[in-house]
Amino acid sequence: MNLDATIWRRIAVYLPGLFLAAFIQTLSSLSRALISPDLLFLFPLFAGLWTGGYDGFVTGMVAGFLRDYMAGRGYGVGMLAGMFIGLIAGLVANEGWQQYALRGSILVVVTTWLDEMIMSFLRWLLPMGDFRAPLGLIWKSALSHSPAKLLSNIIGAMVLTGYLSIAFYRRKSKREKDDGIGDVKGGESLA
Amino acid sequence: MKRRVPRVMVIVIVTVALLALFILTALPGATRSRLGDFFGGIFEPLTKTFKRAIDGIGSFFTAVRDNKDLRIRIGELEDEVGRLNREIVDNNEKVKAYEELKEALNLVTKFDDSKVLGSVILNEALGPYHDLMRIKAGRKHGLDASVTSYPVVDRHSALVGRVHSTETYSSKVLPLLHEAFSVSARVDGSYRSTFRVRGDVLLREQGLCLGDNIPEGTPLKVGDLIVTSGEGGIFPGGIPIGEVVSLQSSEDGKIVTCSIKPICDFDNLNYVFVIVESEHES
Repeated sequence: MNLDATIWRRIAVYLPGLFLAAFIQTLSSLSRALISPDLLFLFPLFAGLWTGGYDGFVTGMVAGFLRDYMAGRGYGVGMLAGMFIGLIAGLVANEGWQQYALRGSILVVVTTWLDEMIMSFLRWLLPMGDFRAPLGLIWKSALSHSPAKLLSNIIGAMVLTGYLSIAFYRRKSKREKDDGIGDVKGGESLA
Repeated sequence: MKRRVPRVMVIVIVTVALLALFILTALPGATRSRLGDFFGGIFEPLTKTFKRAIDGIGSFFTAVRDNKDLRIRIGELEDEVGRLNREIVDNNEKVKAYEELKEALNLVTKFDDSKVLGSVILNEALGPYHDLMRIKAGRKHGLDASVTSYPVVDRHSALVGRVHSTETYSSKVLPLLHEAFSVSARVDGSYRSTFRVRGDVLLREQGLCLGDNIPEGTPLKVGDLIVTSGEGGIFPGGIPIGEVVSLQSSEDGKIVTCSIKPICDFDNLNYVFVIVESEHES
């Protein structure tokens, strides 16, 4: 986590990261693999968790737009979903690896499941043709995919954590080393 | 230090704006295409650069057995194979129509004026609502889905789907297994009793599609090849769809539905062909 990163550093990390995530997701060999993390879904979540504030909110909209552009039936739904995911992640963002791991894992599980169910509901609500499949069947199909999707997203979350920890790597100053400030765990007071 | 979270007012305004965008782009013939056109112009060079970089890395590692020239040649040959396969199906269809029916049934079988446009798949479906494929062929290449849709086939001329919407440089394709996809079909070799083939939510999980609205007395059995009938105006007749893998009958023994395994191998699909300028004759 690096809640103190400057705006330029955040732009330098998130902008290429988002496009890289989108391009990786277009690789057919990856999208057909058993483990195919939805990086564009995870990116705003981890941007929000990592730097908080507006970051998750904005990256969520950009990532959502890319999703809508690439494979969406229209524009807006992916952006809204991404925005709220990033927003929630930004709200729960906190200092410390322990907090990051705990909140990150809960968010990945809950939002992956919720996203799958909500998008399936929209698929039922706004059918593309004349035929509307029963909602029960659509949800059943979504649920059957959930475990693989969840596993993929957990692996994707680890990859993104690796990317962000390298991109936001910051050397500890001598004072921080001496005082052990950098090792403060989330929730603990510096005082 | 925790950074300031977005204000409620900002969230509300952005949400309303995105909902408006969603409604606008969900309306038929709405601004969806313009938005895609604008960003397509930005993404096009990026995509090209990325694809080139990926190709470059790939070429480096496979330089000994697969050099760049060979790959270009393969691309050209795939174009050629697609065109020739299309011609074979076309010609077979013409011969059958002539010999068996002597042009009595007036079926759509001719693709004389059709042009086959080869295209690479840019990305596949990403999720339940983001469930369309994007191909690198758009209005710049002569496609315009606002006027008519176009059939999409693979290199063996098997049905892949149809073009859903077009933008300047790329288009979205509705695949055969999608629940919104439907096409009029018949058993290969039989010119009566057409029925509907469509995607189904549950069968899609198994890589199958559904045949329904089957008229009584349709000669249908497991193993039959199902092809497009030519009715409906989008798909020319004779495009192979798939093979019947199971039949579902009603209590009185009448065949109600059938499951069809598409011939197109969606797991290894990288290149597709769009059939354009097809003039149907009835």
